[in-house]
Amino acid sequence: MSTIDIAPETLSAVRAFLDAVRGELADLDPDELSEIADGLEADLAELVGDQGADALGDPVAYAAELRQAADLAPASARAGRFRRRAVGPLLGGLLDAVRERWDRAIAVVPGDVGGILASLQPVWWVARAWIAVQVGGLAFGAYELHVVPGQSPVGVGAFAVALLVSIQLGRQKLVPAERLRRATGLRVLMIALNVFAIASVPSVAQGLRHAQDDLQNRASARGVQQGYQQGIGSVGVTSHAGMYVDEKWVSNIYPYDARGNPLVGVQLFNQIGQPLNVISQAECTYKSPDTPSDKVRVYYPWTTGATQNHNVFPLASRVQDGTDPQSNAFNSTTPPAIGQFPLTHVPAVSLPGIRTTTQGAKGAYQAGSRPNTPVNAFNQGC
Amino acid sequence: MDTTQLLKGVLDLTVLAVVEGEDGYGYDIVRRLRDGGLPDVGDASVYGTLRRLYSAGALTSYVVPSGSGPHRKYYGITTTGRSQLKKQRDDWSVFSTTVTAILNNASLEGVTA
Repeated sequence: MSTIDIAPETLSAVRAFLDAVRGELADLDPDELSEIADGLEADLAELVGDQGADALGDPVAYAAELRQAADLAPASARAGRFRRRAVGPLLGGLLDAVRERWDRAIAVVPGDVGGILASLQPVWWVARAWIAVQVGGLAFGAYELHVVPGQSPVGVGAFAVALLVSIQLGRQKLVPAERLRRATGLRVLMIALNVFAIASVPSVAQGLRHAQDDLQNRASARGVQQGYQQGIGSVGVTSHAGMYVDEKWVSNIYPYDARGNPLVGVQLFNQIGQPLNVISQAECTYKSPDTPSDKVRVYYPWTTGATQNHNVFPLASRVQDGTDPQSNAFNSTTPPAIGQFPLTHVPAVSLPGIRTTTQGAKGAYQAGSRPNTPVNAFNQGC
Repeated sequence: MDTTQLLKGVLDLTVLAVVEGEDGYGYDIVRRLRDGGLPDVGDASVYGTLRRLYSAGALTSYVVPSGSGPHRKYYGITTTGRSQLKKQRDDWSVFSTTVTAILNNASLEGVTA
């Protein structure tokens, strides 16, 4: 007969008795103790099933009888090792007691809460695997956190492995329940890991929130870019074109000369003579920070007469209906204009021995008194 | 009749004899001994004896997993165990015959006296 059905209360009584016996034999070598106590649980459970819990008797006398029959030295002869060895069984007994108390407490709650919790176990197995992968991501910084950790091969692999280990642990396939119950150290480790998983939830949630914000920022940036592509598709720009400062798109440039005076009509090139093109999307305009108006600000590039040059600054713009530049805009009643510089004047600059070239230049922007307000006062896209 | 002291001397022999017939787990062996006419045999004594015989190489053990509860540890006899059993059986036979004879003689003397 190898299969035994044991009532939970019988098993509890047997385990308490067995823990007490183990405590009495705690001075033995752990392997020896394991050998001698191995299989006793089933035997004692059958004894209790036959004769009732009273048949168990006194664990101290039982342990003494067992020790004598097995021809093992009495505890006093090994007193030096007693205290150190006793910690394991003591802790194991404590954990058993907590578990029994929990079982009893759950058993009296109406509505089969115990059954519901037990059936929710697989959910926890998946959850802790997920948490483990997220914590791993946070610890190693190998990849960003994603709600579904499957956006990178590492994430997929790590989650698959964690899930397998978690489920097998939960099903007690990796460490059989019986062995786990006896190996107090392993048991404490399992509890610690589960507690750690629960304690990690706030960190993971925070990491996810950051990742989510980041994702939204990117989506917003992508949306802006796509909007721009649609808006000025006729110009034929490619994605990633344009200029960025602090990861924000530069839509216009306001140059100042060495004296700090605004300049208009400045052509910019890079170190190999390529034009420093700025891509200026059609911008939403706002009546207030939260209330967009139905008109958009459209930028009009400077021109040589034959080509439009997007590297000449500042760009002129006007508020109009529709995002496409209008060919007759400069002849309309509201022609594109440079508008206000963000700063009326900036500090003068110099370098020893370097002569500035723009002093009194013809193109200097002459605009008497100007409010110190940028064109896009709210500094936000659509 | 208090057979506790007597049992100690014959526990090895009886346990080996029971296991020789068929492998068994601890409580099963206890039950077989009790059913065989030794109602006072203690569980712990039998388990301790099994452990000692196992350490001495007279018994082998194996675990049979249980689907729903703790696993069972079965014991079977080894060649060494069989040799030990044979020797102890012979010793017991001589010993018990001798003791019986002494007791019978003493009894007869008691009758005649």
